[in-house]
Amino acid sequence: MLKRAKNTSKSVLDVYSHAKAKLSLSEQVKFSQNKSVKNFWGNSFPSIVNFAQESFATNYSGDPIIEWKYLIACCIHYKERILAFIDLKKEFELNILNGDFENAELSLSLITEKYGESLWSINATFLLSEKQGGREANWQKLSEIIKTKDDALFRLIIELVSKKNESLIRFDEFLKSTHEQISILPFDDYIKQFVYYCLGIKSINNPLSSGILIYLFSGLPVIDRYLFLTRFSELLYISCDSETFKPFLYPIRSLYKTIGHNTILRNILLYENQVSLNDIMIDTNEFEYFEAYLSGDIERAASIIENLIVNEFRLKYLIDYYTLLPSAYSAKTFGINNSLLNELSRTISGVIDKGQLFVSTLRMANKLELQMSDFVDLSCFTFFVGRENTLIDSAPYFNLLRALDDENVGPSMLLYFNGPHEIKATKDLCKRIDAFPMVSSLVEKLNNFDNSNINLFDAQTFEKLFFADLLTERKDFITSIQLLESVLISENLYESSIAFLKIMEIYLEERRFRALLLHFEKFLTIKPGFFERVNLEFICKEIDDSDFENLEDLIITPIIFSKAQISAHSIYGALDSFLSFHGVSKPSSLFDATTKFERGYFLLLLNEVCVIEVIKYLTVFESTTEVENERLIILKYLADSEFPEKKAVIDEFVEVAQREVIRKGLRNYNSGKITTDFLQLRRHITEKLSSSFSRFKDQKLFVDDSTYKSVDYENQGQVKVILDLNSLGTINRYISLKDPSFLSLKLIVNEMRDIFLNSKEHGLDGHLSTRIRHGMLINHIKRVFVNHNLLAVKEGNLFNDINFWEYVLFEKPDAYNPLQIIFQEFSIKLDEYCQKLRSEYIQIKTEKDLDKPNALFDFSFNPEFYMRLYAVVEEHNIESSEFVEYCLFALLQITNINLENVRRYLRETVNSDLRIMLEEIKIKIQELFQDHLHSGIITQVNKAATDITYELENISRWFHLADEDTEFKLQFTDIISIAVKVSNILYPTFQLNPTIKANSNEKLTCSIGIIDILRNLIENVVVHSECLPEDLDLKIDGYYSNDDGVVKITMSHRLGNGTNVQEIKERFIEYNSQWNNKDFYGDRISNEGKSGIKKIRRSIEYDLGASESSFEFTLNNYVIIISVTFNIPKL
Amino acid sequence: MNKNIIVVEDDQSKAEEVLAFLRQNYPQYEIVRVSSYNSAMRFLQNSSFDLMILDVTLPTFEDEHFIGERSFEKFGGVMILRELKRKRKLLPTILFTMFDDFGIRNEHISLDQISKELEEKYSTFFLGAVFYESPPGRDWATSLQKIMNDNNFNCG
Repeated sequence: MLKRAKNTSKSVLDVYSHAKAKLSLSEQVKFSQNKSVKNFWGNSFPSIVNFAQESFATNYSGDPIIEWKYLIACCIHYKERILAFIDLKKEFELNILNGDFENAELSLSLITEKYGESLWSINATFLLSEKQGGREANWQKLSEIIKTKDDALFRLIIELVSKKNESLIRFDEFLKSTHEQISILPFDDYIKQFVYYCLGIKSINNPLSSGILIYLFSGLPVIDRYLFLTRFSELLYISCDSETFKPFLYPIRSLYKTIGHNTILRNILLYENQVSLNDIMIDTNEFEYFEAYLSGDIERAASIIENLIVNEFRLKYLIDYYTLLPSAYSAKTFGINNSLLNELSRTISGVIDKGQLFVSTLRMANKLELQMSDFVDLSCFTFFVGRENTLIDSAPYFNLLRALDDENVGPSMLLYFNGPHEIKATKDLCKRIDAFPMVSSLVEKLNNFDNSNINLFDAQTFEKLFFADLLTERKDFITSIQLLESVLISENLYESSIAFLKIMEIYLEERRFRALLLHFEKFLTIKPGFFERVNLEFICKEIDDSDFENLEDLIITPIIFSKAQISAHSIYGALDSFLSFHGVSKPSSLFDATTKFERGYFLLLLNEVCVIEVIKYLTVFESTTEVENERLIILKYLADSEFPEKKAVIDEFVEVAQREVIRKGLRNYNSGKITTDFLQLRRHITEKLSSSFSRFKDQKLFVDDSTYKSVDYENQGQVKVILDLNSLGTINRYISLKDPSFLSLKLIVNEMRDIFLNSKEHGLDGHLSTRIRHGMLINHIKRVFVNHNLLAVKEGNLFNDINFWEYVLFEKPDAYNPLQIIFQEFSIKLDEYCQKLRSEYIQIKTEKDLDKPNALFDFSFNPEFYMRLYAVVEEHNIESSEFVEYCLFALLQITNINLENVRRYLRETVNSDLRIMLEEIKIKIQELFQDHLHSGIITQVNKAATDITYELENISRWFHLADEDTEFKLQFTDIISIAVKVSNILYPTFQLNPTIKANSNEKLTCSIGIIDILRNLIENVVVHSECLPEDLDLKIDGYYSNDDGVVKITMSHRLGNGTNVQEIKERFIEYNSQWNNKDFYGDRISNEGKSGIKKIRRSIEYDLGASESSFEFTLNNYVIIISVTFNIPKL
Repeated sequence: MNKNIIVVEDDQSKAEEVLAFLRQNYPQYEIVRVSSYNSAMRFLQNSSFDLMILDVTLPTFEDEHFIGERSFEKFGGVMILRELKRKRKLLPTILFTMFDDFGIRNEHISLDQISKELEEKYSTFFLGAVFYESPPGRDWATSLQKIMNDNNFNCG
């Protein structure tokens, strides 16, 4: 960005930059008015805002004060327009608060007409359109606005601004995704800080390094600069000491003198004794209701505030209404439905209520605070939201915020602003408030606090809170805690919660963790709402750092850890310390010692702390299965006890138990993909070869009895065979290779091998084809690289860009295309490699297959093999069935040897080849970035290298023979869940969460085969639906009848709007009519390229052995329902 | 008494390289290799070692390889260090990783940052971090040797 600015017309930039650095505020304004000076303030009121090089009129000076002065001089120069804008802005805000969207729209269009587009107007547009037409209207505006923006960073900002106004996105989700998006930007922190500021998320790490941030705002329209400088002044003032703030203060004074009306700037100057209180109106309304409140006349206080909210709305009135009055008043709300006022009112009352919806309501409040960026007296709301969000020790910070944003000065300045400095203005104010004796008495007491003269314990609860603060300041912790404990019983939830927090603060300050935890123990179950304002994360971190010293025995310690938003490993630390103290290594061992603990807390510990994510770190467990078994034991204990949330416990029990089933299912699905159906193979071979074998036996007898035997004796075809046949003994004799009976046997063995390998129903190649080569192998390899954003997807002949890198490479746009080319080249290479692996390596060869030199399943028989068989038959005169048995056994042994070779090939050769490819990428990336190596990219490549090793280890496990006799049986819902899970693993960017139903709880035969069929059906949806997963509305329904073994799978889902429905209809009509036409769906072998539905048809016939099946569908209004019916062996 | 080194590393090829390096240069040490968070913790609980060479990202359990089954601890190595401190087993440890940047989405933290943080937190037993770069670079071996020698783990 800075570089961009530097690239513009250098001489003008230099002159302007020099002027910015050397001239005073008034000189800068004068300079800008010089006729020869054009555009000294940059693009001030653009009709379309962009954030490009032209937006900057100067270079960055490196000095925050110079940038600050320049920003303020610009606002002074445009003061009239700014003031006029502020009036219109107020009008817009009032309209939107009252739900008058039509007039809000008019005000907004007038603003953009007069003052052009700004970040403020863009936010206002999204807020208004969201209110008027929901997210679709917001998106519509986004698409219109984004088209006009050239800069990728600015586009990102606009997208995020639109997102923050989306009512359906929760605040925490917005914040999380925003942090994620911003964190991957390869920029220095100041650019990231700039993005956060543009979104209304503000913080100052070091004011002296904020120069670049101020400079960046000089590239935005004047309106945004003015609003920024107001908020930034406020933030600076509350975060810095006076000395640091001083250089920023003088320009603020100049601006305020010129521009006049700006509450925040004025109050800063007031507190810094730069303006007189005499010039400021006193908010007598606020004094009146405080007076009534402190006198105990709650009804009158309520009536005054209600009147103010309706007639002279200010956010502070709304907040005071709910915080000062007892909880009975929280039911009342203000404003018409869908108005911002109504939303604010419901949100504030919900937060104060601290009920079950506290967390979600507070999120709404946070969201509103962000959406209402730069609203008049927003800081009052920030004060409220911030205070509710954080530890009470931040109170002075937030109290100051409230006082700073008070247009007409009220008691908040006196009561809330008890900060570190003595403020002259507060003393002046005291002199003017004689009409309000209760307020002035309280202020007087606070100003001249001497607890020996006041009966602290007779004071109003509101007063006690202030007195406790003063006692704490004087380190009289004992009296302070006693005073606060008397407030804890107040009927006003707000007051008692404050007392609770203040006590906590004292313990924390003194690092009395044991007392603190016992304080928590008293209230955790009876007043859970109190904890919502507690920064448990911070407290747990402090306790963690103390290594739980003197806390190990307390059951509350792990419970408090589990309530905090901290890592499961930290919670485990607390739990492990607790368990070790009590001499056990796992939670279930505590069942015998329950009397040691308070029952409610013991059950809470079991339910909330001893969860899978936490107990998995206990070293006593060696696998996920063991961890889940422990959780099941705990859940059973909870279900059998008087635990109140039994339903949730039972639901979790079912879920955990199912998880184990699914994992076993997945393990089965992934382990032996090669199955042999001995019974079927044996029958098939026996049927087919019994006559050949009889012929061979007859022939052999004939040869034995005749001279025919000696036909070839003189030739070289005779070999001496010495064989050790293990249990069958040893053979040591001559066999002629041209003996017709030998040749006959050879033919029989070859035929048997062909059936074993190529039988359409039971052959090995069929398993390789349908279960491994068809999609699975390649998808499993590729998904690793997709996960790490290294693989480009091909559409037609072109590769799509991997968009992930667009933002990552923002600062190095020149590298974007070359990097995409690197990944595209890698994608081509990987694709070729996978295709080769599939078509050349995961193949079967015999001595006849000269065109398959690389096939890893080598069933080539050498003469010795035949001779061994021949010798066995000859020596032992075995029968046909024994011969089949012997041959099958031999073939299985060869298969196992081949499988071992394949596994080794995958783990070693393929792993090494793919790692070399990744190394090549790394070299290319290093060449591209040279000395500015982008570590994020290399990290992704390195991670892919580790993951591919694991994935190949996974894949290699498919290459085991699975035993048909111990077939894995699953319930229908588990079968569907596993198929969905497999799909989610294979398609990481297309995560499905379908509605699953099944009519039967029976465990089905052929479970693994049905998973395969379902997986293919789901894959069909993933590839062809042209719909986003969240819009898919996928429903999967399983039906099974044990009467006739009929299985019916029904899947319904939406199709994307762009789908060619007619084409799909025609295709599905064809599937339906041709379902039983073998020419249509083809043989089992080598059909990897054919359509998913055809493959499903083949699997039903060849893998499940279903004799009958059907396919049906309906297609209405972009919703398709597919049903596949087939029969399986009955249970 | 024999001296022992425990290597906690899940990447097969990286583990082979570091084991070969240790066996060649430090033959006087007996070396144990484990490849998960859980197995490392069990070994550390039941046996005593003189040095640990520790990967950052580790699988939770040893023998869970199937898809949908394997869970990873992104900062498993850091968790182990934290456990050592809590259990007051101050085993000299060198972090050994092939990533110089951890997590691009949720947590974005460089190896240098991790190393600095660990130096502050576990100054009594954290010896440093080595960035393992796959071939052709062998800088890692020099770095590892230097840290080991600086801490009196001398070549055999």
